[in-house]
Amino acid sequence: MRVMQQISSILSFFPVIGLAALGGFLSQKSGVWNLSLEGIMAFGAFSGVFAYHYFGGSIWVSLLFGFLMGFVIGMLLSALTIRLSLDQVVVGFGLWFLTEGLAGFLYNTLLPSVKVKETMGFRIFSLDSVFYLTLLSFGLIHVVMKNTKQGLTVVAVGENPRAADVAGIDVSKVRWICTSLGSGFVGLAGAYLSLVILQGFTYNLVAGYGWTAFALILFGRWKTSGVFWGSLFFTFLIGAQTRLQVAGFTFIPPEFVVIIPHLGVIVALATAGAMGKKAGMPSALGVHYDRE
Amino acid sequence: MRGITKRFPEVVANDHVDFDLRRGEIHSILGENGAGKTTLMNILYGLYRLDEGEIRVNGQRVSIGAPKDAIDLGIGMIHQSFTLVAGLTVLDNIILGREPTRGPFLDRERADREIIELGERFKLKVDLEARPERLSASGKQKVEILKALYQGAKVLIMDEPTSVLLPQEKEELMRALKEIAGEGFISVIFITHKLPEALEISDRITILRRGRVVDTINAGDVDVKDLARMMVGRDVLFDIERAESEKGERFLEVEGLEAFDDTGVRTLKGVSFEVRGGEILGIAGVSGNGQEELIDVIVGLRKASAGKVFINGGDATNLSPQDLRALGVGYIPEDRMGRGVMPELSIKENLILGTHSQKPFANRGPLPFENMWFTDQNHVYEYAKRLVEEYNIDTPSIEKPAGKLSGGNLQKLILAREFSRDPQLLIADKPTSGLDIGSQEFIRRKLRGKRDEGKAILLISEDLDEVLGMSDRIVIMYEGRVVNVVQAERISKEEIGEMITGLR
Ligand SMILES: Nc1ncnc2c1ncn2[C@@H]1O[C@H](COP(=O)(O)OP(=O)(O)OP(=O)(O)O)[C@@H](O)[C@H]1O
Ligand SMILES: [Mg+2]
Repeated sequence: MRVMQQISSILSFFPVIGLAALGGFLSQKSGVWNLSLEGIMAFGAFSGVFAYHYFGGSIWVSLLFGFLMGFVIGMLLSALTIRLSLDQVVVGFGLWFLTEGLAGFLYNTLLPSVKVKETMGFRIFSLDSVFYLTLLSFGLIHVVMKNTKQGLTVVAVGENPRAADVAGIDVSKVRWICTSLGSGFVGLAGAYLSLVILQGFTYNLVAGYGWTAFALILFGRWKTSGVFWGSLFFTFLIGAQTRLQVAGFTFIPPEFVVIIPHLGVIVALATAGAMGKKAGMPSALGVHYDRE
Repeated sequence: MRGITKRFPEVVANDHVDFDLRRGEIHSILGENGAGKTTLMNILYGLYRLDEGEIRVNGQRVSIGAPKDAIDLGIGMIHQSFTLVAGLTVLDNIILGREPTRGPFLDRERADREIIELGERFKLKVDLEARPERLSASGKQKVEILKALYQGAKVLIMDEPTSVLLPQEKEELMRALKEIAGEGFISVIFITHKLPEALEISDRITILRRGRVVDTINAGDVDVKDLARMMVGRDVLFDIERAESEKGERFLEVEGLEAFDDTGVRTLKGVSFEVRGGEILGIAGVSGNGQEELIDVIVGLRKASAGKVFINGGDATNLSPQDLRALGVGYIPEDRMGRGVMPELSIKENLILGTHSQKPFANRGPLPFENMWFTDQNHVYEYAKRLVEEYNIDTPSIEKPAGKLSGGNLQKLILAREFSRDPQLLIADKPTSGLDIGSQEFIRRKLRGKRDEGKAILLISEDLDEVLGMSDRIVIMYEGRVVNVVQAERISKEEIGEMITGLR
């Protein structure tokens, strides 16, 4: 029984990593780097707590608000990169700094230190409904990518926008929908982190999880299943790290324990980077498409 | 199409062009490189927006703002460079944009049935499970045609479809197109640089020159000479005389060369031959029989797994492309956009690419280093200007990105760069493909000239007429081996055709 408890308590962190990775994945599949995951999560986290405080204390409404704010940032990212054809890397980093900074600033000025008292009700194996929603989203996106018209369209746009355009597909539209929807997921991941896991907003609460999620997309070789298993694996790494710290193992220096997940990220990036196209990276990822 | 006008910065690509197409006809468009053929078709397909003029379909005035509008009107286009998505199956590529569904899901079974039916009707066979990147050019083309037909095309635009095909495949395509048009519902617009082809396949022919229509005529009323004159505005020589030249020293020698392709299959299985100065050695073979790997190894882009390459008697096996260049190897690649130029850089910059950091294009400036970091802009400008003129590259400005040139002019740019570097050995991979007849003549003359100067030339081409007409000797490759080396004047086109397909 103790083992089961340990496992569900580790798994309860899964939505944070999983939803963020899934969101970034969606955008990358359509050919747009979303390099602002870290910032969008922070902003989602702030937005969730903000909504909790001002809109009547429902956790579901707060989570939804986190999603919406992520979506809005995604639309901004799309407008800048797709419409105004600005460089995706520059915009991505810019939005990261902007949203992360803004989240901290707005929290300090607008919110008294809010403590989230409500918890998620419904549970199976002591895991809440967002956990199961995350699982469901993975399954859904997997099926959509493989077996629907929409999925085929997204893959075509990410691989060869010219071919998609010639086949009568509106490349910009597909890209902005994927980017915005994806950012919505990222915002939701942030809101879940603040509302449910930490039960409040703290400065620098995202602490690199956005970049972990980003690395997972590469690690998962741009496959839904890959991203899923990667997210699960990292959830356990993160869990192991915090638990080892708490347990106070003396034979491993605590500094080393803290870097475990980050080591994983470096390994993931290095292998995906070395394999490049062979790793399954969408061919037109990061490439702006213009017709004439 | 009436009064179609399209202006790009500094060029009028189409100048009040009138063009009409009847139901069930095959209508060819001819014109020199840069005449505006592709532009006109891109307008019809909604890829470019027209500046003036109108398009009518069945008498109705229509506005085509995106390919989707064109597809809805029953217009399908097969581009000069294929537009297939690597990584998706052939089936998915064909249904893309018009996917059959059952509920929320793709109905791949129905698609499969419908495509096989279409294929049988028009005698177009493809493997639906394959990935397009594994297919030959002709296979990809069939996929593209099926895709257009599957989307319900009543008008099939084919932009230089035959330039990538072998003689037999060409016949096959022509037959399929006649079949398609023969039913009387579907019309074909056929762009080509090969005049006999246009005469053979078309009902009518429209000729463009510098963005304007010269004339639209019935194919039965003219011959090749007339067409050439209308296109170029002067008479064109079709055959270049072969003069004996002095054979020089052995410049390139390969011995038992073996190599693997990208998928790890050994496609080059022990090839030996030599090229002397003052000779053009042709390599004939159906693509996929090891020529690609052979060239890659010689120019340093692929490692040889066995065997040796000698240049001027010295071992040059597996040297880097830079070292090979320094030994006097020039390379005109088939893949123009990928290997030939940097599409984003200007024409000027592309012309000095590779020698940009050497004298006289660069200098040391005031710095006391060996490296020449400063570009001599004036010199580069003059040099590029001269080459553009000499090679007749049709462009309003040498500052334009190379990627915006028309297909044939891009080829001329690469030729200009490589020729002017004065290589000792020139490897020319399908050097005239996509060129109009005037430019073909020009390039062949240039190649001949280099040979007469005593340079060694390795010519790879699938155009048997070209190999036969240009080469002194011909190496025939089949399945990664040299099956024969023959003197060009002692063999016929038919005999080569049989050897490269393994029939002899
Ligand atoms: N996207 C573009 N931007 C700027 N100029 C262009 C563009 N596309 C074509 N042009 C110019 O328009 C003219 C016509 O080009 P087009 O591609 O239609 O020629 P083409 O007849 O198809 O030639 P080819 O036989 O070489 O393919 C050329 O001068 C070309 O440089
Ligand atoms: Mg063209």
